[in-house]
Amino acid sequence: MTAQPFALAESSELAHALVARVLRDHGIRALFLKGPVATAQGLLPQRVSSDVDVLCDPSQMRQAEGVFDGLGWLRYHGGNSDMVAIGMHATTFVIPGWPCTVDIHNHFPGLLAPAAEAFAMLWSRRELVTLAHREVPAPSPADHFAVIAVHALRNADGAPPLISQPTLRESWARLEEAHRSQVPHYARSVGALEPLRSVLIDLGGDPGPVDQRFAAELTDWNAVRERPGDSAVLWASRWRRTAWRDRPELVFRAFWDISMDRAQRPEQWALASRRERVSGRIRRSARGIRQLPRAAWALARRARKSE
Amino acid sequence: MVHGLGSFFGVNRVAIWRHPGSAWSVPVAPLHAQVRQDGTVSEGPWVISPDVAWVDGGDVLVLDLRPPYRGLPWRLSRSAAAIWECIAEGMTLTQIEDEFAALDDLDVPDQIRSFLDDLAGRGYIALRDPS
Repeated sequence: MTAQPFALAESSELAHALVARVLRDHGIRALFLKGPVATAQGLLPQRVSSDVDVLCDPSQMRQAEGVFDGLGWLRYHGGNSDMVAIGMHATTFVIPGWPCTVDIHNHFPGLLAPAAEAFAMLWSRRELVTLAHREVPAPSPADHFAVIAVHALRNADGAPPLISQPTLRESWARLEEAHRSQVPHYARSVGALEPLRSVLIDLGGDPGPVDQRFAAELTDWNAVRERPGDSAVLWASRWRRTAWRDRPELVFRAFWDISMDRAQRPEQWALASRRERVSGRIRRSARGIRQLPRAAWALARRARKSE
Repeated sequence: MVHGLGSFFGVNRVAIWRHPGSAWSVPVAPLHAQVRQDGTVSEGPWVISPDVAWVDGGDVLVLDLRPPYRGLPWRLSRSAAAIWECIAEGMTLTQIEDEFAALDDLDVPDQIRSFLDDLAGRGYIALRDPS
């Protein structure tokens, strides 16, 4: 006999069970999102998932990262990377030997309420979902729909009609009627109502009165949505959310950290020649400097429009 | 990475990359709770340990969830996968042996017992509480 390949499709549910067990054993509260969890809840069709998405109690994020570091799991963007400090929503880990990665989120983009508040709401309504014959905690179906919806919007072209996105339409159709009616209320509680307002209307839901909280966060959200794929706007919005003491790291990551450059994956950059890395850094820096004024202008314009 | 559970059962440890410092071996628990007086494995039925996650997609992949959390899944194929499914369905040893009776091989019952014994020893299965 020889060693068997360990396929991505086989790994996902087992990886969910493993991460859930590690976090539970260390007393860390976390909810599993999207992928096979949403499939098990009937929200998404079956498909191969390449990562484990975990939303961690923000107050325990550092602890969770430390636990993963201690297990020898590798930070995707390098051992010294600190995604929390620079406003990134997730830290990605690679489990040695596993084909899938683990994204541990300290907040979820599109849930505009303070991260701790949003997590507490989701946690209070959680349910257990069985994956690989083991239970993992997950948001309630209505909450999970809101998470899936903001995720779909964030990655979608900003052009209407939003309803044309099959993911959202299918997920909505798969929700039980009782859960559908919960969505506006639950979305409001985590600050996702305004990001989802037009979607809910398109889907036939009633979002109710405007939620006027989180205006600054909504401005950032809309700016990013207006320019999908524009990394400069993303970095500029992270700048606004990052404390002054962490901004030097943010500048370093934005302009110089080649592992964050999407031209190649971090492990490819790690194998690149010194010359390739240097030229990649120069390109990245030049691009960043070039795009900076436009990103700042986009955010400022958005802020003026929302006043 | 091949472990000595016998080619009849098609049991492989899935191995792509061994991280430095990781342990391949799984802690082996004492067998006395699982075996009869004559040294053979208990009649069962068993339950699959809550410390184990598993998926079935033709082959069965079994993952030990206990600390130090560094294990990789075991792949059970062919007969091993079938026995695992029998265990999951709550079959006794006699019932499992009956499932394989058509093979008409004198060694099969011994191999089944040996496999069950190994699973019990690893803590992957335990006798079902009669209560």
